[in-house]
Amino acid sequence: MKLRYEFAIMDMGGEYAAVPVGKDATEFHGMLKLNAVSADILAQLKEDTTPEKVHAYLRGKYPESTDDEIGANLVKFLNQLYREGLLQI
Amino acid sequence: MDFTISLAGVNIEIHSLYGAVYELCRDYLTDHRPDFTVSIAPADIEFEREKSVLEAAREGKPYGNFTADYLETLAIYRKISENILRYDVFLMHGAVVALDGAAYLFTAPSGVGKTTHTQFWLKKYPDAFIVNGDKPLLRAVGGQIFACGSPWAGKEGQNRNVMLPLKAVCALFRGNENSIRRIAFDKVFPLVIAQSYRPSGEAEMMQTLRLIKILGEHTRFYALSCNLDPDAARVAKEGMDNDE
Repeated sequence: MKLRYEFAIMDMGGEYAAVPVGKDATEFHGMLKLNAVSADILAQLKEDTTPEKVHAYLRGKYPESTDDEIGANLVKFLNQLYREGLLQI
Repeated sequence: MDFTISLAGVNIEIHSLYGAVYELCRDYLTDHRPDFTVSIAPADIEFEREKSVLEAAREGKPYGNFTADYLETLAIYRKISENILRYDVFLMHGAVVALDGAAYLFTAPSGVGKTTHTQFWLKKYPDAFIVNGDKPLLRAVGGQIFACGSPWAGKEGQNRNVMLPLKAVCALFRGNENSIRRIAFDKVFPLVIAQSYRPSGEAEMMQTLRLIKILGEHTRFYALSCNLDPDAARVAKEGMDNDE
């Protein structure tokens, strides 16, 4: 799985803005407002990857969270990206 | 035609195919050495024509059948907006009104009433004037944001060649009564991004986001709920001025 577009991601002061860029990005006129974890996930999806790899990355970065918490947040965010046509499976 | 203009303190040499853009830019001409150059080819004009057709179709409006010289003005401002980013300048859609040496930027999606509201300011405050009624440039200089005039100023064309410190950004909403409240940047930055020129390249978009973040760090933001009563100008000004 991989993002359909390139994204410019910026920490706007605790919350993150993600804006699609590139020639094809004109198809998507919106932007994403993300928390730090979602911004991390989005950054991982710039390259072709798997849910398992992203999960493992998040486990390393957020050791205080349980597997289930990380998994639930990851699935929720991936589903959101897929529904909005931003994720290629 | 070849000429040089100064926008937001940046000197831009323009090589145009038609004369309309020269007429548009008369108040911004300069003899200074250019910081960068913008040249137009027929393909740039065709790009603007295709973009206008697509936007009209998306909005369900009839296509305006724009002339090539008008489309060239759009193409030139697009190239300026992409290149001027490296001088810490970005384009934010909105209407800037100036009074007593300070600028106030009103932003909202098309049709909410930016022009109507700023006209209330001009009637209420005789010394007020429009810096730019549609596509002002904002420049970050040493931790301060300046609102800058530009001849690209929408249908009404209201603009003045000045550069003034930006006092506040105010998002307009239609309401039954006039009221204003301060809003946090984390609530308003999606609107600011939506209203800012969106370059296609990642580096340019990152620079735009960086400048918007600076805007958020150095400017106050407000939400103005307003009706068509001219008193909305007083409510807006007093609300922003008395919140020092």
